[in-house]
Amino acid sequence: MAEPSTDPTFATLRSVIERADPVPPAVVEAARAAYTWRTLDAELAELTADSAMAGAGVRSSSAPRLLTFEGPGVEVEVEIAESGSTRRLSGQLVPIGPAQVTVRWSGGSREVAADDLGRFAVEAVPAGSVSLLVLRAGAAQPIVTSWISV
Amino acid sequence: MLELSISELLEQAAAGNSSAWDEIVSRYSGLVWAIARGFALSMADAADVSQTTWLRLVEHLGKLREPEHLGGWLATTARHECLRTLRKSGREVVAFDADIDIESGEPTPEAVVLHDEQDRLVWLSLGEIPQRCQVLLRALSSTPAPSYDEVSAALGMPIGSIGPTRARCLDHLKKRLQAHHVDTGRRTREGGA
Repeated sequence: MAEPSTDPTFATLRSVIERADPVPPAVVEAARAAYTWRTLDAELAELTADSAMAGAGVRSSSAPRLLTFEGPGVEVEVEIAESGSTRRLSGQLVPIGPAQVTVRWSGGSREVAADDLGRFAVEAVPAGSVSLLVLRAGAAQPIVTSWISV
Repeated sequence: MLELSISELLEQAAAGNSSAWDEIVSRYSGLVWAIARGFALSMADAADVSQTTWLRLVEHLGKLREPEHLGGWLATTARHECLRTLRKSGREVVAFDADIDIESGEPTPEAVVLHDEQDRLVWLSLGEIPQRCQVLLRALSSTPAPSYDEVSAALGMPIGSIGPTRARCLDHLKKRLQAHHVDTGRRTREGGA
């Protein structure tokens, strides 16, 4: 533990923060519910590139964001376009090939098919935490991409 | 479950025990929230960062290299996700490492729950100190009290710097309070211990 501060200013500050900005109960509830997204048999594809983090300085927030996830033997490239409070996701699997793609967000999920060239698109995904579950044709195990705020 | 170590809780959560998961959430949701709000994210963005951080932990259950340092892992994940959120919306953390006070606008809506004028000014002053100090003081104020290891992860700063930085940040806060003619030193109200 950090040593308890006896500074009266810190004590006052702490008391004010506790009253002015407590963790909203809905945030705690959502964190508990996150557990239901546990996947037992999936390989994880970690985020390896994010155009939002590339380069210094302020970038245009209207340009689509490009994300790359890499897992064992597969790469998932996703482009995210913002439209108000929803997002359009379009993606590319590498190597190419058909797959069943499930877009998962905190409140739900939607399935789409990736075509023979490994391309897929999903409209109207709510802004927030998103992950993809990809089951490639003939694969024994699905791949899940790391969760990301979009 | 209070007698279980964090490594044991993680082990149980990885094995399917949702009560162990709930206990982990109750231990660390305050720290994750404090970090997101310390980076000046809106309520909605902070909620997203918090959720993404917890979902990241779900996907890493059973895979953490140092389960005993879970708090540090969560704090680091939350900090990275905050920076990502700021960058994608075209905002930057202005000179995170610099000791620059922030031009504050009007008090944010949270201030309406503070009926006491002094409290409102304390809240306002917190928003005026350097961003790094806001993250630091909010993280230190979270419940249960975090370890230096966790605060160091929240800031991306060596553990040895936390003590001196805390002292400097409190000085920043006291200067802002003075500017608003608030004297917290003489107050006797309970300090949320």
